[in-house]
Amino acid sequence: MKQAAVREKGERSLKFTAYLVTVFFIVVSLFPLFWMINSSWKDSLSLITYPPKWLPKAPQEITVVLNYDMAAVMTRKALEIDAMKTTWFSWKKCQNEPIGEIRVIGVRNHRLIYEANTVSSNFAAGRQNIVPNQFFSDQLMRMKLSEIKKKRYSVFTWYGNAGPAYQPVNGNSVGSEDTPANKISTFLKSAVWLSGAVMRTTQKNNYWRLFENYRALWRISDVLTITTYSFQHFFMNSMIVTVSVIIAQLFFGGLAGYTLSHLLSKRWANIWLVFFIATIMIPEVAILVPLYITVQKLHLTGTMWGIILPHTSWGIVIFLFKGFFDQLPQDLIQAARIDGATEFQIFHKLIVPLSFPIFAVVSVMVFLPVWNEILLPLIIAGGNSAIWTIPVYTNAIQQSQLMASSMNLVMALLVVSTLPMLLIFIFCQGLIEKGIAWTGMKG
Amino acid sequence: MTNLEIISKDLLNQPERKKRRIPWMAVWFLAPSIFSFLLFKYVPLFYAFFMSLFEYRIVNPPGTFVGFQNYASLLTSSYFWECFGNVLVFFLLYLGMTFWIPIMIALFINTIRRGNKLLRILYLIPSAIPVVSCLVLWKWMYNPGYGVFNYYLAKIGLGPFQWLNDPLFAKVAVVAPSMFGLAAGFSMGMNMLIYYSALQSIPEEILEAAKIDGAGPWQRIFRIILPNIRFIIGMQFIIFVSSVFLMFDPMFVMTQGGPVNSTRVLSLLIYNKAFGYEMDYGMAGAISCVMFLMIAVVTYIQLHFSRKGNQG
Repeated sequence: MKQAAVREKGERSLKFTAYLVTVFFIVVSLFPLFWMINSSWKDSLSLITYPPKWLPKAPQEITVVLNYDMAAVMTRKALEIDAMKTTWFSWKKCQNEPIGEIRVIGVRNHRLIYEANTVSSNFAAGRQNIVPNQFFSDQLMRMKLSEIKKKRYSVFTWYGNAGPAYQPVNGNSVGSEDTPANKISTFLKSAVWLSGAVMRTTQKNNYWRLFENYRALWRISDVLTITTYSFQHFFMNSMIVTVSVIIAQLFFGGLAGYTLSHLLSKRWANIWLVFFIATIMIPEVAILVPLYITVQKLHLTGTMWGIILPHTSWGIVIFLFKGFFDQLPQDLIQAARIDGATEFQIFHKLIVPLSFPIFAVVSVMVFLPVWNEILLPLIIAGGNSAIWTIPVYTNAIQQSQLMASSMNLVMALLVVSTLPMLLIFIFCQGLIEKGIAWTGMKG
Repeated sequence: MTNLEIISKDLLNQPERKKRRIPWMAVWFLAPSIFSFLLFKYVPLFYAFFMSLFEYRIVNPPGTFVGFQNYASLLTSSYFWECFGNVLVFFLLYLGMTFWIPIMIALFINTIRRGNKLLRILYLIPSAIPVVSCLVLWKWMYNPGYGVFNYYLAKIGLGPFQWLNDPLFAKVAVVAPSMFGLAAGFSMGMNMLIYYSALQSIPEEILEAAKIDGAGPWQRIFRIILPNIRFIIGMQFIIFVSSVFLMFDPMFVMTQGGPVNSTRVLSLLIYNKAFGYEMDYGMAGAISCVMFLMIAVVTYIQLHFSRKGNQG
């Protein structure tokens, strides 16, 4: 039987408005995230040009082939300097082009004698140090070669006399148009400091180099004066702080919640519950200064402990635990007691396995604010950048010169700092909703 | 006294005697938490008041006792009232620009059957951007020179705006990210889920009954559903008020209180007083206590009214 659709008056208009408004807010809210990810793939110039571009330019992989047939016999070091000059000087000359990688190939008698590779993340890291300005000279590279080798900015492969035969690399050869390869070719042909002769300069799209901005984060300290550590250090700091706080909350909060709901008489349990829960009303900002003094008196300022320990006193966690443990049957615990289990054994062997959901919910609910926190780590760390967490680092970055010069690296940093939270939001949505329902029901 | 009576008295006494014994296990289990709460919550709270009575010196704490002089000079200073005024303006802005959005979205998503879960996830995702990262991102999008906002506003004939550099615009510009998912203090996504879970717990029978009585879908929302989640909205409002009073991150990251102090709020004032060049801990303590008192009073008033509202 065909069911006649009975539509209420107003149902259609409600549905329509609902979809329209919801989708509007979702799209507008997602735009910053999209713009962040999108910008983290771009080259630094297109972020500070007007108008803004929607799509990143395809990164170019440039291959320069140098011919040494005519040159005098050179040592390995001289050839390496030659390759580095070709790479770094021409890159500096064209630093506003979307170059992803420069390969320099040295050829003698149709055999490869060396190959040098440099990717853009390494160029971004080393640019300030290796090629501070556009005064290019042989002398400069002689001085900087050791630096390049030490920091491994460029990969230099030496073949010697027994190299493989040279085969022309595919890619667009230089035409008349205004491409990076063309500019580099012109630049190198007029250079007096180059020993080899430019044989061929080609370019091709290499989309893998879109991700170079993320790789640059790993050596970002080379271009920053604010700290000697790079991104991975602060990421680890944030992880250590967050995971430690979660473990401490689960252990101590769990024990306290269990004690309140099963070990104490009702009267005492209520007294202590009020003691714990009343602290929810004490805002962090209002006790900021005395908290700092307390941590200072414990000699924990400038240490990771100073950030972790103040986070072990959250009333809401004990409240959540107690609420959950109250629902566990008293008989079960009584039975275990009669069997001779100690209280800690009961907690460890009986309660914890039964209460997996609450532990998961608390972990997620603790992760989010601690990962976001800036105020406490900021004042506890002070000038000691060794224990900065990601938010403190991000804030320091946005006040540094990097914000003006390499916005693409800042955007890459934002994307990577978002990833852990994003994963949790996507995969633990159920847990978050459960936690909200539990706090909401009783709150 | 008969034997039976003695035995029964013994039995009755037993639990009492048991109770008087100190449950050592409970003490051990609670000790770390009690210690940590005392050390990091209660002691600092009282110490905030204690140090507000001193002209605090870092070298030789606590310094000179000055009584309530810190409070007097605070309440007569222009910067305190300036910051207080800013907090009030921010409160109105947050109220007008953010508070109602998650309620509305939750109501709408609740009426949507198809794609309900997907929409919820999508609305939650922007809240996943860490607060400071999100603020840096917005700050860059606000950039008057090459920011994305000015570009698109220019396309429809508006602007160019100075956003964070303009004392008038700065306040709105600081609040706007919270409108679209910034998770500072409260987040739109989380709040939406709170309201959504409250909507889910409204019994179906009430809605059915209203439907039979001839209430249309719009009427049901305003007459049945909204009054039903009134309590949750009230609770959220209390949390909302205190988190707006305490809001720190957006002003700290985006404007540092500028331009011309137009976004300087009380929490930023505490930070600047204590950890800026002044290092005036006593004054910072005084501001802390005033703020704590303010929030406590506001919360008390709200709880009072919401209880009255529930009874009536």
